Amino acid sequence: MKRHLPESVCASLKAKGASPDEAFLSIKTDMAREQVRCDAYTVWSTDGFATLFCLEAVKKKEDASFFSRTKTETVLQELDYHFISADEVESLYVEELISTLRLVARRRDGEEECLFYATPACRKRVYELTEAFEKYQKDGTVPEKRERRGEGRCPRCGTPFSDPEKRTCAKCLGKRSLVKKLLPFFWRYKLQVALVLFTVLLTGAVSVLFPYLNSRVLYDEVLKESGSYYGMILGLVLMLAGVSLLNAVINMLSTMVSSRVAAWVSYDLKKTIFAAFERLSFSFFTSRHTGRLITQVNSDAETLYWFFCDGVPYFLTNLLQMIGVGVVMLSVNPILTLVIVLPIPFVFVGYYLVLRLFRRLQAENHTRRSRFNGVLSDVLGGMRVVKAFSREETEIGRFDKTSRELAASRLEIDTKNHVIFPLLNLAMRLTSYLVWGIGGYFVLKEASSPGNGISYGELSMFVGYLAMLYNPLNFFAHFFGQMASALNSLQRLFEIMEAEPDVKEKENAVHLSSVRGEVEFKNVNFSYSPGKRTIRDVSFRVPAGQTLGIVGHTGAGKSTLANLLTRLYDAESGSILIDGVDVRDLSFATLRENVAIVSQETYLFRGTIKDNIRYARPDATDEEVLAAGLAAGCHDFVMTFPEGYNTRVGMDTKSLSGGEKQRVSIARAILKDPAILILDEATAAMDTKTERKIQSALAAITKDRTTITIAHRLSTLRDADSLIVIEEGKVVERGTHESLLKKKGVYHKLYTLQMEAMKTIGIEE
Amino acid sequence: MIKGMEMITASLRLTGENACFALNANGLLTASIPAAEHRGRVFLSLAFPFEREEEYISVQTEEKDELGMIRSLEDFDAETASLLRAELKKKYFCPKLRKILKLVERNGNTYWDCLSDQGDLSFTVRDVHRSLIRASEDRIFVVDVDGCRYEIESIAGLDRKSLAKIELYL
Repeated sequence: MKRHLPESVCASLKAKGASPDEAFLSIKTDMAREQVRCDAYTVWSTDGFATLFCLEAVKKKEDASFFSRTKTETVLQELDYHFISADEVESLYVEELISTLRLVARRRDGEEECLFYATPACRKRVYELTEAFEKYQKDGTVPEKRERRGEGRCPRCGTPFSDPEKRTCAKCLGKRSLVKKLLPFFWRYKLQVALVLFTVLLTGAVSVLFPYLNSRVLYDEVLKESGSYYGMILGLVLMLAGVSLLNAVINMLSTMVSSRVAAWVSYDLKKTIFAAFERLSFSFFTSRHTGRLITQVNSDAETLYWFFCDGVPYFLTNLLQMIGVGVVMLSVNPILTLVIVLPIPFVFVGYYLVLRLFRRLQAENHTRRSRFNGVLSDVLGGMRVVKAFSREETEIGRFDKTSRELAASRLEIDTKNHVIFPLLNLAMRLTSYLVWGIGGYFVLKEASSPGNGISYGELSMFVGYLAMLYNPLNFFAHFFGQMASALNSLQRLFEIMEAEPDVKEKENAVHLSSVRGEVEFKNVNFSYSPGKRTIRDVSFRVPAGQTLGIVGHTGAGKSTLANLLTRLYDAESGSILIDGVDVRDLSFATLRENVAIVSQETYLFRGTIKDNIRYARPDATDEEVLAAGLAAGCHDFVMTFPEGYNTRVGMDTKSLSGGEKQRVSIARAILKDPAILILDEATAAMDTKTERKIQSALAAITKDRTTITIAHRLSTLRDADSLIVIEEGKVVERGTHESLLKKKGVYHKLYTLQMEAMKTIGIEE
Repeated sequence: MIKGMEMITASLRLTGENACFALNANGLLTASIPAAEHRGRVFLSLAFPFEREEEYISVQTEEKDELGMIRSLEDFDAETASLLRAELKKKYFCPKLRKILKLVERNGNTYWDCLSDQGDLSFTVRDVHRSLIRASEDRIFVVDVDGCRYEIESIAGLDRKSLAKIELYL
């Protein structure tokens, strides 16, 4: 297959005898053979592997005319060239170093040779080459022709994606597109939103009225003999009271409606995200920190709630108010208006810079607080060890250091707080004195030559407006920070909502009404991350009703087989069949109803033991719960609790030991009565005595039921109908317990070692 | 040395007397260690990479089985020591950041534009607090989304502007 190599690279490779046009695969990496950054193009063709190391520079075309479309050209500066013939290469493999990796060819003469180095950013591509070559050597198949989707970098700005799989660039994702995505959530409440906007408009208008009434009208029209409403004090007071009442009612209405809309939008967002969580594949959760996801759902939705409930209405009200005030002031005295308005941008920028400084200081304080809390929880949690090794003095020192750092950071914030804000307030007060001064001059001018100045009432109104213009500036400067964090929250939420699950249910998936339980793996390959293959060409068959034991060292890939059968992940190649149907063609319902898994990591939900056992089948009767509890060996310890099966478990309530939790989860799986039962180290957390106790009960449950048992203690697998031994993702041995012992291979070695260890601690087989 | 431990560490100790290191025809490190019955490729790992860059070097096979440990490069002749030093340099290679030109934080990711001993570099770091490895009070490593490491040899040695950009995360 061909990939788009730059023309200059192709030409250079051809000149050196390579065949880029007949390439099976070509990749671009980023380092020379001496670990120096450069561009490296490796072309694999029937001849062999040719790598050109070069530096690319974009240069202006000499003959570029004004109308030509391309004015630049890529100039290639060759650094090195390396070629190894395909006949010489036995295999290719990648050696991972600390911050780089290197591709090594094992030659047929037994020597090894490094083809190139690369940074981990190229890991996927390098492994793609080694795997393609391995496959080619095995069955002669060449890689399929497919276009590479970018190179893990944003095509617009060239920034590496923060999550290469998601391929969204946080730097480029526009604010407009975010708002567009949010609109449907608000559209559902369009009437309420319209009402909020209307009330905001009214509040703005009414607020402008106040200084006009209690200054201009009071001094110039009511208290002045020449005024139109001279002496009508009661009327003015009643009017002021009426306007205040109207303002309060509008405000209440606005707050009520905007809170309601924001609360419902926040609810809708949380609901959509939770639905997205349920839809997403298991891999989404394993690659993310659970705490961070919880923060995302809670805190981000909360941030948006406050932004839309508080921030936006207040911002709009103040903005409209400022416009209204500006218009009124201009109509009275443009010069005085200018005196008031001119300093506004400076004060605003001042606030903005101050808030930016404080945000940085707060973030620093947050980091130091986290460090302080970390030390504190470390010491308190490990007090037994501290005392055992007499390290009290050291720990006091460690605590003192972080505590001092925290105190210093707090002190810096407080000091700056007490200096900067009074200074800003002083600047604003000085502006008001200036207004009094210049305004006073106009009042005097009005007295000496009427019509050329302003009245005392108008001056008082200007001072009232001054406060209305300057007070929201602090909020405005803060608002932009609030808006940025709301947009960030929005982006994080949409990232979850729009994430695509890796494992999807097929359209028209097959639903099996009854499952016999035959399981077959056919040449299954799987890797969690590129190049690190966990399962290699695994094939086995478990006839319906039989038990298969899977044996192997930790990390051999045993649990991965269980994950693949339950479709927590999908195999990369090969197929997994249940009753002859590929699991990828089966409906999720068929799979979940007929396959149950008890794993080493058990999880009990908040609720009673009974609720937890019934989790798999909420309609189970109490008698069935008891039977499952007895079979799983949890009945005895449950009955020692005063509340029996009604004992509450989960966070902050009754804590069960690992073995007890495992028994509850075995009961849960038994109650489901699945056609296929997977016991993945299901008894590993139990002591040998308890394990043996429930072994016979488990034997009864697994009789005539397809069971796949993964166990560390090989003695628990001796009655399995067949066994497979896994090593580094491959099946290395298969047979029954007896036949494998006779074979004297890996299984025999593992079994003998375990038996000897058991004898040492006094447990005889 | 702790009582009884000499025997254990001595059995592992590799010196010029019991190990012979060389490069193969293609420049990859090989060793002949008769006590471990090994002859072929070997891989080096530092036990204390932040503190001891020429001491306590584990010598392993491709399968990560330890063949022995080099207590110090001084236990070898100058030629072998420089061979091993070069191999360690390759293994622990990482660009050294000289200047932080731009550092922008968005959605928990930080976007770095830096000047390094390898030229201009741009990379993205997810969750910067977790991705900074402090080797000492003055030396840190930054790990980007791909797993590439970048070293700041001396925080105090950074220029004022670079320091202002990074100090928030230190």
